[in-house]
Amino acid sequence: MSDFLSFHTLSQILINGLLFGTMYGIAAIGVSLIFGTMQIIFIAQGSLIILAAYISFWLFLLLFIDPFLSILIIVPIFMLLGGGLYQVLFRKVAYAGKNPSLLIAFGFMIMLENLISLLWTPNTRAIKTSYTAYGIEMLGLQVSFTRLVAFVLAMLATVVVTFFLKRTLMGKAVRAASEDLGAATMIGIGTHWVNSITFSIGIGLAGLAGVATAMTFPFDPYFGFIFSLKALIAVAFGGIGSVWGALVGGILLGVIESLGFFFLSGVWADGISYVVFLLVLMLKPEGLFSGFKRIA
Amino acid sequence: MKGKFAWYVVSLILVLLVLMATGAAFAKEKKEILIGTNLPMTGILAGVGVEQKWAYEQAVNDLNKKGGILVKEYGKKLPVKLVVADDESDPGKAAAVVERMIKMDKVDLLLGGFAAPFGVIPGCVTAEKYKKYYHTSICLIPPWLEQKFKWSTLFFFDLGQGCDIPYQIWDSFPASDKITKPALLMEDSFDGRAFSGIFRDLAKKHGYTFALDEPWAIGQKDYSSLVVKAKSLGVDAILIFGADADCITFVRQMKESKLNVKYMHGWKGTWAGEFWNALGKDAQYILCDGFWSMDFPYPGAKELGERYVKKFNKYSVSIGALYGLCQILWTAIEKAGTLDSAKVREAVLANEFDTVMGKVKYDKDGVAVFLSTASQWWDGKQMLVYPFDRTTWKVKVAPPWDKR
Amino acid sequence: MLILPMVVFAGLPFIVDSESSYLVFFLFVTFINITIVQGWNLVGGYAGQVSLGQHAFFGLGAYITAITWLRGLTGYFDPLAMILSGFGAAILAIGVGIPLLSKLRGDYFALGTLGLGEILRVIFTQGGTLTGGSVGLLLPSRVYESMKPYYFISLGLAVFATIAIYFIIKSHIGKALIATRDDEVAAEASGIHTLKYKVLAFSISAFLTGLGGSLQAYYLFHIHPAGFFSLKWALYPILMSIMGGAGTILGPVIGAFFLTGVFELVNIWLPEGHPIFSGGLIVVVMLFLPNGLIRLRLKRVIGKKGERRGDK
Repeated sequence: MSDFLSFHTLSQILINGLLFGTMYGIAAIGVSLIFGTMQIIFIAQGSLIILAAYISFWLFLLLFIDPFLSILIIVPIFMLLGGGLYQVLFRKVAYAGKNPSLLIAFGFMIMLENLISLLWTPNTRAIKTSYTAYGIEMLGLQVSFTRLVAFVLAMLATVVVTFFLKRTLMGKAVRAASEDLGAATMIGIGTHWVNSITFSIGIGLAGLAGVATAMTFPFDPYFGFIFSLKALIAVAFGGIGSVWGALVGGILLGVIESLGFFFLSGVWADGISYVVFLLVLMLKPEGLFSGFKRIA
Repeated sequence: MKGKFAWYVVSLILVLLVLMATGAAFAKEKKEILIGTNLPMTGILAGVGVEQKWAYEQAVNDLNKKGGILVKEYGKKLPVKLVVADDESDPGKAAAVVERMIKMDKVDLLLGGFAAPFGVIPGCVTAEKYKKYYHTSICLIPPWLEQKFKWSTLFFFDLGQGCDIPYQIWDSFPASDKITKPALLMEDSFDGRAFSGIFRDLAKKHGYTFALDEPWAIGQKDYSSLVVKAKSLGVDAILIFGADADCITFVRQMKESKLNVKYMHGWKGTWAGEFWNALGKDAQYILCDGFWSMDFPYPGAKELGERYVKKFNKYSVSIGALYGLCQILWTAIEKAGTLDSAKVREAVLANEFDTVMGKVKYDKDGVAVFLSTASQWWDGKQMLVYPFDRTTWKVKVAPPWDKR
Repeated sequence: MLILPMVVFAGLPFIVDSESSYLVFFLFVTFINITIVQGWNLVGGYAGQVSLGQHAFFGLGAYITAITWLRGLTGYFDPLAMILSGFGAAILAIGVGIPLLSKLRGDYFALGTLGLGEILRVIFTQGGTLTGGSVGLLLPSRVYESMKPYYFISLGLAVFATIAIYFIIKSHIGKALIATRDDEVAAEASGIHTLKYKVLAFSISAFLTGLGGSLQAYYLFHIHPAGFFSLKWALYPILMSIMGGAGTILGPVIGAFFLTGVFELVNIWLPEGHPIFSGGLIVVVMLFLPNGLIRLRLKRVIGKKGERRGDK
């Protein structure tokens, strides 16, 4: 096996891990924000990502809309959906302890999976465009075009969200509410309003992640749950509530998995992610990059 | 008492269940033959479950159009009613719904589910407990035989024969296309390991050595490390076993990294229409396994295949096995003259059957073997390649990606 | 008041034929569920520590039973096997509970237990000939004779679990757990060694869950990672406990009966779409009855929202 371990191979593995990890990262940002502001473990994030992927698939198949363009349609819809989901599902129980909201997220997730399965059949779907299996050569390494695009999108999204949180009034309100709920309420920041915005951002990001997923690999209705699990691990790496932390956490997870799959066989590699996950929780629960401030 | 209302709700549920269970027992005259089957209708195997249900329904409808089966015991022709229970792609649930079909629906006989060893073995175990006949396919033969089931039978292919196919094909290649550096990539699961063990043994027999031999984790979304390894080793043929999403991802990454192979043969993940739909022309030249082909020269095969195309808009290389399974059962019931599980099973073992799979004969252990097939993807259809004597299509060697 | 149902359940197999009765089978499944739900309720409902890793103990219990049987150390329906399963799970709980519970609070603990469950699943999938790898272990199913022992043992486990929880809650342990749940800092300040009690609750819940896994192993005869470490076993106890009413003695019983029944009915009536209904039901119940069915009183549903008596 050491015959393969040239610098070239190693860099190839790292690049692949990095690009793949950004998928986890986009999924994780939404989960992290929602977790940070409302203490809700939103395990339905992965299934919403898959929903976005299917919608993108439909738009492509029926209306010939390229996935890139579908982002312009899907992300706004999902942002509205996010606000709506909060109002319908979580507003009532937002402060009733963490158990009801966890179960509501779970109930919603299984509804969504089954709904997708009925609408689109449970079979695997994939989008095939002219650039789907296209690889470009960069610095002697083979880079998947679609994954590179996903990476760029993830970066852009993170920058936009960070800007929103730091520079806009609404964003600052979100940060204030997450840092000190009592004080925020006292000065008149409507907490349900703030929560809706947070959900909106989180689900909008799920929409983006969904399109990126649809562009990159095949998907089926039940893949969402695993995606959510990986997002949770990424959030643990990055620290709850941190946007950049979630993205970097996702990338780190991608790299660990990539290295793991290369050096170990199959299922052990899966286990490695969970072991690191537990270690991080135990030794650095505030996240590996606690240099970042919360919600920034 | 606290929660009185809740107890009323619970009692209501229990009463409902009891009513449903005893309702079936009040049927007076026997009007139909109840055949129960446990299939994954939800959960990760739902895709397969839906199609298997369709195959069974086709067999039932075709039979009922002729009035049903003449059952001597009742002195008349009885139609078949199919009872489908969702096992949620979970083996524990599979056993539970088979119990329910036996005890609540009071089915006469059972048809098998999917995904060995899960959907099928729990069903077989439950059938043994209650001495109900479980007529099934889709299970690897050795673990099924180990259990020495007396109340079920198995109709499936022999792994040794199936795994030998690629080597026979390679042996038939001219010297210019000789395969020297094959790779064995199997998913790390029960089925995957079973396949890989046999592939290795047979490779030795035919004189081939694998340059790359590695398992991968199911659902791994990134195979670039495997592709990188294969490319640096100069692999020229790949045998791959995994789910369709994984195979699709793998082929895409092959193309992205410009890994060229002359021969690529997939099991489980490359046979479905979705594989072609996802990859388009990139799937050309790739081979898949199968149970059946609509081009088989057996009565009903072509028509069944066409019906499938009309319904699902793609081709199948598996549906015939399930339809054939039903054909065997219908004939066996007629020959037995009764719905008694023991007698029907005896009839299955004692007779020879004509089906869309060809002639079927069970041995004394309850196993009937059919030949695994191989087909090559060409312009959206799986062209039958093996068994050699049933087809005229010869395997085409794949040119490099940029020369297509 | 509770004696009547108990008598009915105990006498049922003598009134109906346990082999052909669907009700007997349904109750068997429900009783196992009650046992593991009581387990979660102790650590999640009373001690306030949400565990997402009960499937680890369920699977471990099942494997212990299977492995000891296949090695000839125990037999069919062997009490020794079940006790070993329970204790094995409890020991694991203590082993991981001490580090997890001392360092992780609330959500982090939940995530940690989830990770634990997944790691255990991976270990058992890779266990080679000891655990049978991803195909698992096959037990000799020919020894099956009758449904009766399954039914009575599961009934016994359910009763044992409920009574055990009752006595634990009434004792000083229970008071310590509730104090910890309501305000851990205050509890520590008033001299309660919260870690000790949390670990105790965690290990007792593991014990009960392990027993459940053992009995399920005897029923299914085929033990493998996908089925026994499935997240179903992690999530169902939480669902049933909370829907029934967490932090009460009978809440788990109600929840187990209600959900086992509903899931089964829905599976029968809507073979392809039942998760939509089940998921929707969970959402609706959680929105309108976040404290569980046990606190459902017709007056409260119609009238004003009742005050919450200090349960979270």
